[in-house]
Amino acid sequence: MPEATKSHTDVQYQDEGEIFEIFQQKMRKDTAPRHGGNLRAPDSELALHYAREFYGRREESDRLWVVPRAMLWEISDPTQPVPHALTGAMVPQQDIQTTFAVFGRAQAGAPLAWILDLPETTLSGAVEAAAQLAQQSVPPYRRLWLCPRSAILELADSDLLHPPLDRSYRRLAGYNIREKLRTARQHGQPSLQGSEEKDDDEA
Amino acid sequence: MAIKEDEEVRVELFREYVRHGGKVEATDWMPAEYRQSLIRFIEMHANSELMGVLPERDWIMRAPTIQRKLALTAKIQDEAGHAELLYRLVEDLGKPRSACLEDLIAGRGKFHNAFHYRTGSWADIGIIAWLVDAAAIVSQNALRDSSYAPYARTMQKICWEESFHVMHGRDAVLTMVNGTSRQREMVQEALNRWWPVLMVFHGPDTPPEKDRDLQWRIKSKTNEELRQEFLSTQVPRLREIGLVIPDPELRYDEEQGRWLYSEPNWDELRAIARNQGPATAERIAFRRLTYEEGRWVRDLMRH
Repeated sequence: MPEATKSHTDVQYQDEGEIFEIFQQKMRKDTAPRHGGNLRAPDSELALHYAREFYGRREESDRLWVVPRAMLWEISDPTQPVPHALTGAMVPQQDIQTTFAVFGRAQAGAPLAWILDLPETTLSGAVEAAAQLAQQSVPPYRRLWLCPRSAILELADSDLLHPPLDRSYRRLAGYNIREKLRTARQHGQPSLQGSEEKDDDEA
Repeated sequence: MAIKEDEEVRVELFREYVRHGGKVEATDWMPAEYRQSLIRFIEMHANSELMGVLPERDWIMRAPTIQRKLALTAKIQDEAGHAELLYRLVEDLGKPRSACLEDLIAGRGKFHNAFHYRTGSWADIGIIAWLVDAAAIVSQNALRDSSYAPYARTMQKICWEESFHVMHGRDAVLTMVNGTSRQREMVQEALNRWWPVLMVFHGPDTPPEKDRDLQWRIKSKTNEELRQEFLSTQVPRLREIGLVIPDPELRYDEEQGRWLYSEPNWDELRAIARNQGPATAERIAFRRLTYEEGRWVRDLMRH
């Protein structure tokens, strides 16, 4: 991680848990999970709960993916495919017996989105295949993330991701202010202002 | 010597890159000064989200209806969630969340001026949710163009939720305006209290060449541009419902193409920047109290 980390590595600032990267597939909007950001959680179970609160509360989702940052590799330039671990604490590669999920972005600044799962079961094989895919795509992908498919925790339970209860307070009683605004505008008309006051005092 | 020159060239290239709309990711190389500016800017944003819930928290038990109470608690949860997302960004740049929180409760952290004041009535909660959040949206919309891409992306989600808050606030204000004359007075009094706060919300009219955050494209618009944008949208919305903006100088000047207004009280803003606002001490003390009370949970989570 970046140089500036060094100044804050005192023991007193050891925050709990680890970092999880969150991918969200919004209901009716997304065709694949897109990277939303990340969160810190003591373990993966709480990470799923937090992901639902932070990412799925006001916007219903079809799918949330939670991936420990320690299981992600980045290829910042697919023309020179060198994988960099997103964090220092890395699982030994030989322990991974799984296929790999690939995320990518074609446009600078856009969120990374899931592209596909590769059949390769080694990191080096997956990196090579992903880099090839990135360059063949139109437009080419400019940045990639890879993670073992087995590292993705998925929440796709519609009871939890779009329950009616959540939708009810998303727009509590609705904020259709048209009628209210029409009434309120009468207070803004100078000719009415004096008489309005009297009406209310009588009421 | 050669290494130092290389570094300078690299910083200059980076400067050119962001000036032309280049995007920077968390794992990319960036100059130390850019990193420090990002940490300072986003940390203050995160602190503001966290401190911003305290004036509203005071009104949960006093909300006039169950619907308002639910909407208020939902807004508070949104803001606390925003704080968490923003502290994560700061942490990835090198300053842990706990270091930010320790600075905050020690009185070393900065947060937005609006949250250094006390609230007077329920009307204040409507005015805050409408106008403080609208002022914040103006800033945050401009941050969607930030050179720091993770911040720009986080702003998409935050703006989406802030727009609910504005609707919630405007709805509460309209309801009171349509109520009794006493309720209308309460709204007018709240506007009188908050207008001076709103006029300094976006900061002084700093020339672009002196605004370092603008130079790095951390933000994309000047303070004055943001204030003008806020006035253009909200002044007509306040006037159309009969509210009087407490500034006799406020008017749109067609020739200059901008809003003119009385000189705001910058001394008060400077005092707040030193954490010496009217309610600063009690707000920080309350944050310290909740931080201490929650310590056992954090300790438990570490094991």
